[in-house]
Amino acid sequence: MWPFPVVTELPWVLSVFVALTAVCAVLAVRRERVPLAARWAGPVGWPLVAALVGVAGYGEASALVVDVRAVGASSGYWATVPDLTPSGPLAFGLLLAGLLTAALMPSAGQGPAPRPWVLAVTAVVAGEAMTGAYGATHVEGPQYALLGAVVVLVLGGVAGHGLAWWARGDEAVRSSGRWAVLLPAVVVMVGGLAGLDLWGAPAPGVSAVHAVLGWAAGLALLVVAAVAPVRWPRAAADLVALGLVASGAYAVVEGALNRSAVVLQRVGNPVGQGPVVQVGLGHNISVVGAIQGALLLALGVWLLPRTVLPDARRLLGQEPDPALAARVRELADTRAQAVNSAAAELRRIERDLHDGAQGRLVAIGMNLRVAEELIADRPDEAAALVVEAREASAAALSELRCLVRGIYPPVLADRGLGEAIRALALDLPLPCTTEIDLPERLDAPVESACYFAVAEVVTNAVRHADARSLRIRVARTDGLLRIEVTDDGVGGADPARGSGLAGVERRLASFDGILAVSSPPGGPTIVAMEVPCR
Amino acid sequence: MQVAALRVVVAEDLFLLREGLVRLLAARGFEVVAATDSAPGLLDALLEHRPDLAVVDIRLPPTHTDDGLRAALTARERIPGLPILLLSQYVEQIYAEELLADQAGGVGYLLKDRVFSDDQFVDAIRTVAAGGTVMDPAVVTRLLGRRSRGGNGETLARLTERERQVLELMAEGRSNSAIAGRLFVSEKAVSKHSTSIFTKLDLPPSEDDNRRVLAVLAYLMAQPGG
Repeated sequence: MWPFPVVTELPWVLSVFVALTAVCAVLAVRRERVPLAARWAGPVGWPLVAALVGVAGYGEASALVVDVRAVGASSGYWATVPDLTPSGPLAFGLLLAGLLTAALMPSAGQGPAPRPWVLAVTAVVAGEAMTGAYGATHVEGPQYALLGAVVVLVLGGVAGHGLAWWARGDEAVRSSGRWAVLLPAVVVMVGGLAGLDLWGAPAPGVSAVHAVLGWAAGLALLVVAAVAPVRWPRAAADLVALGLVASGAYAVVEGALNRSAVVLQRVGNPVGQGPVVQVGLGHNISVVGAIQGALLLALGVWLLPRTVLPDARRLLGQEPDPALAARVRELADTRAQAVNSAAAELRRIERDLHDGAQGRLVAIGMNLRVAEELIADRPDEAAALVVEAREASAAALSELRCLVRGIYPPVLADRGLGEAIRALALDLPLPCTTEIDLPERLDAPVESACYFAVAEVVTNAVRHADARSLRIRVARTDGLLRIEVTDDGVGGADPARGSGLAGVERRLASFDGILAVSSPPGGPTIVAMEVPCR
Repeated sequence: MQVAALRVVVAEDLFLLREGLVRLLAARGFEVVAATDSAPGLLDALLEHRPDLAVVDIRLPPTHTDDGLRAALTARERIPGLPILLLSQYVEQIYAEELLADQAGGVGYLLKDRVFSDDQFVDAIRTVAAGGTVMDPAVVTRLLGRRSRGGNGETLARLTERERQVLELMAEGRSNSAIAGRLFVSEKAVSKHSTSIFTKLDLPPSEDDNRRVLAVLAYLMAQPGG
C-alpha cells in the first residue's frame, strides 16, 4: 500500500505554512474577485505563494521520506538524500520555492511581473524561517537562527539591491534572468555534493578548521550565487538549467540503482544517541529520490530551450542576440513614434499659423491697402483702419508668442532645463517648490523632451488632481537625469487610462527614458522620470 | 523751455525693428547715441556713451539667448543705476526678478508689442530714465496669479476690486496721476486706495513712486519656495 511511514504528528510550523499557503493560493487564483488580492497578488502574492508552497512542500516531502524522530527515538536529527536535499531544509526550501516561483511567475504581458528581488529575498527568508522555527521548537539552537538571520540579511541586501538595479534592464535579459533566481538553490545543492555544508553543523569527527573552511567556502559560494544572477543573469540561467539536468539525472540513476545515500544531520544540539537506520528505509528513500530526481531533470530539460539552447545558437552565430534584437525592435518603435509625433506637431503648427497669424497678416495688408486709398480723401476713416491694422498685428504677435512657447519655450533656449522648470513653476496657479540640481546644460532635445514632460505632468496635477501644492525635484547623477513631480492631490492617476501620461512616456522613450507613477487613491501622486544623459 | 534730449542706446538685432525704434525715438525727441545689434556691442556702447537709458532686446547675438539681459546687468554693475528698459517677445518672471534684484530702480521690462502704443512706450522710457520702475502688465498679471494662490492668497483676497486694479497699475510702475487717469477717478481717491492697500498688505507706506513700485513688486515676488 502506501510505501512510506506516515507521520501522524505534524510540527505546528508546518501546519501554519500549509494554512497560509492555502489562503495565498486561493487569493492568487481568485484575485479578480478579491480587490485586496488583486492589488497584492502581482507584487507579493505570487512569490509568497511560491515560497510557502516550496517550504511546505519541503516539510511534506521530508516527512514522507523519513521521520527520523519516529525511527531513531532521538530528536534533533534529519535524514536527507544528499543528491536532492544535500544541505538540509534550507536548500530544499529554496529550491522548491524558486522552482515554483519561476513556474508561477506570470509571463510577460500577463499581469504585473513580481520584482525579481522580491522573489530572491522571499525564498531566502522563507527557507531560513522554516529552518530556524523548526530548530527552535525542537532543540535549543539559537546560534543557528542567529547565523541564518545574518546570512539572510547579507544575501537579501546584495540580491535585493543588485536585482532592483538589474530589473531596469531590457526584456531579453529579464526573461532569461528570472530563471537565475534559482541559482542559490542550485549552488547549495552542488555545494552539498562537494561536501560544503553551510547550514548544518559539522559531522562528528570533522575538525574545527575543516568545518570553518567548509562554512566559509559555502558562504562565499552562496554570495556568488546571489550576485551572479544580477551581474550575469543569462549565464546564471544557463548554469541553473545545466545544474538541474546534471543533478536530476544523477539522482535518477542513483535511485534506479537503489543506491540513494542517507545522510543524518544534526539540527541544533541533538539529544541522546544517533538513530539507527532501519532496513528498508534506504529503499523508500531511493524511490522518492528517483521521483524527485526525475522532477528536477524535467525542469532542467524544460529550461534548456529557454536558456542554454538560444544562448548556444547565439554564440554559434546562428541567431541574433535576443537582447540586441529586442533593442532593435524598441528603437524601431520609438523612432516610429518620434517621427509620427514630430509630423503631427508640424501639422498642428501649420494649422495654427494658417488660422492665426497668417490670416491676421492678410487682414492687416487689406486694411492698409484700403487706408492707402482713403488717406487723401477720407483721412479719418483711413486712420481708423490703420488703428485696426495695428491691433490685428498685436493680436498676431500674441498668437505667435503662444505658438513659440509651445514649440520651444524661449526661457528653455536661453537658460536651460532648470531655469525653464523654475519659470514654469512660477507661472502655476498653485504653490510649487522646486529643488533643481543641474550644474550644466543638457542636450537640447533632451531638455525639450523633459521640459514638456514636466509641463504635461504638472498640468495633469493642476487640472485633475485637485492638488494644493506641488514639488518638482530635478537632479542629475551618474549619467541619469531624474525628475520627480509630487502633488498632494486626490491620486488615482493611471498612465494606462488615456491621460497625458502615456504621451509623456512615449516622448521619453525616444531618449530611453522611463516614467513611473505612484498614485494611490487619496494621493499623494508621485511621477518619477529618468532619462539617460551623456 | 528747452530740455536737453535724453540720450538713448538701442540694442536690437533685427534690422527693421532697430531702424524702426531709432526712427520712433528720434521722432519723439530722444537722441539715439548708438544703435547696436549684439551684446558685446551693447556693453561697449553703454560704457562708452553712458547714456540716460538703454533700450535692450533680451535675445541678442552672439548666442541668441539672453545675452542682452546679461550685458545690461553687467553694465549696471559697472555703472550703478544705469537705466535699462528691456524689450522682449516674451515675458518671464525670473528675468523680472533678476532685473529687480538690486532694488535700485531705473529698470523696465516690456513686451515688444508695447512699442506699437507709443504713448505707453514713451512714458515707460521717461519713467525708467528718471529712475523709476516699469513692468509689463503681462508680468504683473502673472505675479498676481502667483501671489493669489496658496497661503498668501487670503491677504490679496482682502483687497477690494478697485484696490486690486490700483495695485496692478502700481505694480506696472504708474504714478498716482496716471492711475487716476486710467481709472477715471481723482488722484486723491487713488492715494486713499494706495494707503489702504499698503495697510492691508502690511507694507511700510511710501510717498516716493519708485519705492512704492519696488515694495509692491517685492511683495508680489516673495512667494515662498518659488
